Amino acid sequence: MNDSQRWTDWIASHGPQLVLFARRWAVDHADAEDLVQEAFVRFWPARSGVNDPLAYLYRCVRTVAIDAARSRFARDGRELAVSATRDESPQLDCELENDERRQQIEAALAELPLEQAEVVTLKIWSNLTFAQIAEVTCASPGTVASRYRYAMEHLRRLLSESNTP
Amino acid sequence: MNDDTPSHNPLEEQLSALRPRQLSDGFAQRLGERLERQDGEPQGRRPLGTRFFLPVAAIAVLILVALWLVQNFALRENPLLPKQEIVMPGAESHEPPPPQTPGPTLFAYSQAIASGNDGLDELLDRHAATLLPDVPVKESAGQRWPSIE
Repeated sequence: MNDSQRWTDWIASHGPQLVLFARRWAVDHADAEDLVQEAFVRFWPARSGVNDPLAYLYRCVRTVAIDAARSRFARDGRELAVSATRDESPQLDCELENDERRQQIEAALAELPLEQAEVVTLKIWSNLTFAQIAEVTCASPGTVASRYRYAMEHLRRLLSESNTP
Repeated sequence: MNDDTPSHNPLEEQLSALRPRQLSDGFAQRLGERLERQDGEPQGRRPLGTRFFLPVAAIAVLILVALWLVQNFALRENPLLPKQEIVMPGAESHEPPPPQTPGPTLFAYSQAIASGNDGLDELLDRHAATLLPDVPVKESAGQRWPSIE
């Protein structure tokens, strides 16, 4: 297995999850892909010098995405977490019959505070541990666990409200 | 709630059933091109030898310059200040003082005494003449007397 295949394996295994994570700060799906590419270019030459390459990769994505959001905020005053100008393109894939539920879940995720939304994304779809999420978000594992618990309660309340006719 | 506890949360299961959206078709190609461009560019980090050698060389140069400055200015007279020649009062020439005639020794005095009063007187006169300022000496009857004229 040479180097050219290795990075493709990384992208095949983690690419969609990385883009989903970057969507927390990106304007749209294409913007999120650009952020992931930039982060991966930074990550690839440095991957051998870190203990947890996957957590380091997510941390690179987070850093690049936050920097881009700050630049965008400084340039035209948009919010750091793009909730006001939400991209309507789907972030998650599902069967057609579940598309309505998908929209409700994505809308509920967009209502979460940023620190809760990123923890849920990393835990549910990236399958990272609380320790890895703590490394990515520069928080303690206890704080991460608390954010996750509050996020799930908040999501449950939002989704139950959306189910109420 | 920790990672080791198996979760039977229906909401988690409902969320996990959804998959992240797939990447666009050109994503891998664009990323491959960016990685190739990065490989062709000079590395940001300099080699270890350069990163170590340059600071050491700079410090060595600074030390040498400091030593040169100390050697040339701190230990020598300042070339910017005008040279001042200190002249002792009464000195009229820069010629070195004439070598002084060493005074008579005890042995010379004992020899002079042994030779008689004339020898002793002559020795005393000669010794006195060396101590007196440069005064013309008049010789009279074989003896040399300082002139007081």
